[in-house]
Amino acid sequence: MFSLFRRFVTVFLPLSLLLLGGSGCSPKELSSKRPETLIFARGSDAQKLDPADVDDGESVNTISQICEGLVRFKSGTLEIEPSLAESYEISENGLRYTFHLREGVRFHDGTALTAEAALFSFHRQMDESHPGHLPEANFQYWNYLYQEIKEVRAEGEMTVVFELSEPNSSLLYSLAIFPAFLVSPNALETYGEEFQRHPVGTGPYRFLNWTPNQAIVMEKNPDYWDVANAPKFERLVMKVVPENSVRLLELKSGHVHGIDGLQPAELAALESDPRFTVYQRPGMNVGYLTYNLQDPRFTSREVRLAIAMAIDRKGLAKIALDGTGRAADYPIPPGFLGEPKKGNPIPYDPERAREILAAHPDILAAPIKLQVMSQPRQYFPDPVKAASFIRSELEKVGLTVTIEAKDFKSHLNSLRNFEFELGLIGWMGDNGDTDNFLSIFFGSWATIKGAASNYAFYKNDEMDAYLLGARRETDMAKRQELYEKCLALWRRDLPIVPLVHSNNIVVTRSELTGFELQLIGDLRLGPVGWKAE
Amino acid sequence: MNAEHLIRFLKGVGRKLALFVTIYLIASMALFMAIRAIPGDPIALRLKNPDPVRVAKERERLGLDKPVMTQYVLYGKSFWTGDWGRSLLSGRKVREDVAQFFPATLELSLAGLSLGIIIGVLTAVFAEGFRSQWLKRFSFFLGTLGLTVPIFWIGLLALIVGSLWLGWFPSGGRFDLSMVPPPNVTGSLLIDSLLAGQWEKFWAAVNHLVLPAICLSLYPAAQVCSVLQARLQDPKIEILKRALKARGFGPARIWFRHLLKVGSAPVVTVIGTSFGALLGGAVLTETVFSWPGIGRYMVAAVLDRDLYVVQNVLLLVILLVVGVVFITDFLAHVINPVATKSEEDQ
Amino acid sequence: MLERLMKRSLFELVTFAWIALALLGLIWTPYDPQAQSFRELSLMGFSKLHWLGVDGLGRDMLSRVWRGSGNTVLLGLAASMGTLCFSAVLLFLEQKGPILLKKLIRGLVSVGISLPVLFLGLILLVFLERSPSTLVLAAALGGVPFGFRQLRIVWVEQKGALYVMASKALGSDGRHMVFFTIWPNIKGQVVSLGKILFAVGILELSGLTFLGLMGDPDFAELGTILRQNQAYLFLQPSLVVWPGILLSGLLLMVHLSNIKTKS
Repeated sequence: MFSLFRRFVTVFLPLSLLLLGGSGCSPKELSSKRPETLIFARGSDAQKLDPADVDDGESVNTISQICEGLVRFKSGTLEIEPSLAESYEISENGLRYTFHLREGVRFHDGTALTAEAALFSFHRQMDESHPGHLPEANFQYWNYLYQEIKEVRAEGEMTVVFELSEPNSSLLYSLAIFPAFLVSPNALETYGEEFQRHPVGTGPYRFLNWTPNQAIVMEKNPDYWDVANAPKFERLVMKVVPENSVRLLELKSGHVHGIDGLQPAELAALESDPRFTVYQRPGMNVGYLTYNLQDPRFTSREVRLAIAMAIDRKGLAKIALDGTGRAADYPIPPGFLGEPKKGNPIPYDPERAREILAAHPDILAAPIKLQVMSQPRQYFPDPVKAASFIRSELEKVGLTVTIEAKDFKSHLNSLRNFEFELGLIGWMGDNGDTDNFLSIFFGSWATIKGAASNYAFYKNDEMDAYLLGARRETDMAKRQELYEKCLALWRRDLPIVPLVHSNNIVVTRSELTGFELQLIGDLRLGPVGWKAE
Repeated sequence: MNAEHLIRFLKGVGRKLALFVTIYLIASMALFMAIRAIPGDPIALRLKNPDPVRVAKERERLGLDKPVMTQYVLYGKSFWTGDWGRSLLSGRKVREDVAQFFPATLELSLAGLSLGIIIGVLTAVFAEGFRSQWLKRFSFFLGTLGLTVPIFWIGLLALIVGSLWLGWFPSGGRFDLSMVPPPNVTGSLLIDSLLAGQWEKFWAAVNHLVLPAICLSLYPAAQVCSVLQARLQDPKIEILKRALKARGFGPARIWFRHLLKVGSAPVVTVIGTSFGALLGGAVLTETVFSWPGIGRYMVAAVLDRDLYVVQNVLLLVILLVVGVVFITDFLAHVINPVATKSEEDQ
Repeated sequence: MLERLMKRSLFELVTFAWIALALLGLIWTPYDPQAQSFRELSLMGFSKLHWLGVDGLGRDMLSRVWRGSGNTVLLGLAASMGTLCFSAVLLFLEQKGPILLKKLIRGLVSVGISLPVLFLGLILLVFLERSPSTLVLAAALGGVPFGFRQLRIVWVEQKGALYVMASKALGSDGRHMVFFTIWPNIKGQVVSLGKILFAVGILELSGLTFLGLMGDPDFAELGTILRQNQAYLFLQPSLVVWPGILLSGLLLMVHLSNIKTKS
């Protein structure tokens, strides 16, 4: 019998060790010392790390630690300040931008920053025969935010000149965002095909390795030029934790030091917890409901108004965003150029909505299909919840609504092809300019089937004229006037109903300092460090 | 082994090979056609501004403009040469992704499987050996648990208990990222950290593995336990047991050396058949525990309509499951030729 | 009559009651399981009015899991019926078809039995929309290898049975034989098989729906509810615990009742 017992022990010993392994590193141990690695967790992995060929937040947030542009937004504002360019001039007619580069800056691979080196990042996007114009890359932002750039050339050792075909008042802002970030011209040679997954920039942290669906690891750039914002950690890790609840638990247990993508319902408890700091500010986005104007049931302006009036946008912000956002009155974020200062253009009035709809039996006759994406986006942290809310609002005024949830890609595909009735979607601003919202929503040039961003299929010559005029105009007062006219047209025709602006939320351990939320929603971890003890 | 045996054996192998080829043809054709039946063009879907010219160019680059039969042949060729293309979404090479994610899933599955076998064998042997009502009840409980409780729910409960209440285990992931992972040799963090002699990292990896492995072990434990128990209850085994006892062997030797050997052939078969279930379970476990494995990768690829990932990885995993079943069948046959009769022989 | 009822095992009764109660949830629940009537109470735990609390969107949890159980049972029934039908057709082909087909079917079944339903579901989802019918189809097809194998055992057993031969010798024709001679003898086995398929089908379906493959995320079905409430795992664990208990409990009862009928 004894030998049986002994065998039992030999088999169970590894098992019990396995279980003991659990108590090996308790969370308290982790948080008591101050690690030299900063770990930030988010919901999904980056797609690529090539600034010129990404469009998802996770990729951009990683690249922002590694690469920089000629100019940047002053932390927490929409003001432009010099970055890799020490200074810049814009010619009187708005057709020539001249940037004087900072001396002594080096890319992470040791390449010196010169005008010639800077040209690489632009030429590879413009010129299809350039070796850096990789066949698998899309360079989608180039044709869309920078289409006026005719030529980029070097003047002398340290000066870069942009020549424009026509003025674009938002171009300087566009040059501060990620598609215009500079990458080392030698990286292409060094990494070949893997160039898109191995960024070499000038930023506070440099790329170390990437374990897909797990983590991207960066290390300190000891030679960072911006001494005031020098990196404080030896290593920086961007970790992937898909479930919101699990991510928060990781933060609480001390395994990670900062997270985004918080389940809004958790916010209240976190705000009162001294162990954490909650950063929250309105994001540059708008979540909206779009009609399909090609659907005969939505051709009537009155019907569109009635549906808009039936939705309690404040309630939506409170429930679907759990109070972490605000009701949207206009299709541009608050504070943007052209926003009228007074009034609520679409009051919440279900009674009136019901009256109007009663006069339109065709809309009441058959159920309306409300299409929505199933994955969260910044403007709708829980889009399906928002759709459920809207369904119950619309059914209160007598409509019947069915919800069709699709994954984001398929959803976008049917919107772009105008195969929908009502669609729930949104837009995240790229460069902080009004044009980046209104042209996207209302420009008649954005109605090409399959590639549309004007999902409503709204076409109006007057609107087009105002939009193009404002884009070329450099005088802010005149631009403001034009955008006000655009918004008046929008209110009259109501092709889309803006619903919410959701907040950017980041939670960090309270021992961290130096973090600030950026208006355009990118993440700057360079200046973050431990508080002095 | 005489000639007749050899011929029968070779015939069996030939039949398995023919079946394998048939399954490859069916599975690859099904996947190939499924992808072509996707509503909406997967190429256009990934472009932010998909104008027709760009889409056409992209299709040409990927060879999607060729005749369907040529495409199918090319697909077969690229699959077998290991040239699996790039993910449409991330641009990464599918083969590299598989090399990255598959070891993680394998590590998890093998940990779950071994844990399951240990639990299953011990429960069965002790329940039969001691003839204890309580152990029998436990084995019954285990068998029912493995078949009636959804694995993902167990996972969620394990997270609440092990991670939130006790705080012993991390709530997800594979490794503690404040450490530098061990140098990559096998892809398994456990083995790699042992090879490098880095104990701290080994424990970190074990710590992350415990909860998901326990969840995953339940199903194989239940299967192994019930099969082994049924085998041990065989009256012939009873006679063997008495004979061994009469020779003066101790119970440990009787049970673990002799009886387990006799009982192991059906257990090996069960291991083969539950390998597929294990991979299926791993998809769910990986989702619950944020485990960066092939299961999550596949689900994401299907939902994103990531063409090359879907057509190569799904096929690979299916063929792998089939291969494992064949190999374990074969092993069981070698261990005990009489006890196993394959399906086709019936 | 009473005696017959008594003979039926306790578990079987409980199972029937459970299923009947679940199906009742399709017609009536205390509150509308879709209506977000209690938004201000969202994520609240137990209370007198809401026995299982209120979920994140302000819906009564009891009503949701009740309706959810009903839908789960319904989908499980559909899947198991589907499996039985597909298996029967396959069995017919295997018995009547040419030798090559026979071998192919047996070979495929021997392999298919170890392929997880999830993979089949994934293949279907490559080109089909995420919807309950796709998932039921996946679960139904996924159960076929097992269903086929069990049906075949029953069939082969009966084909050579003496009473069948006797009945044949007495000159009964095909239809009469199937319905009056064979069916009463295999009824028990087929019902028992149906129960296993039902349980397996529900288990597989819940796995698929937990991955969020149902399409409509508001659909009241236990796996989908679990999926939706996973976000509140640590904030309000009861929202995750209850659907799981109901799901496991139902499956447990089906299993236990099956063990009793066998013995």
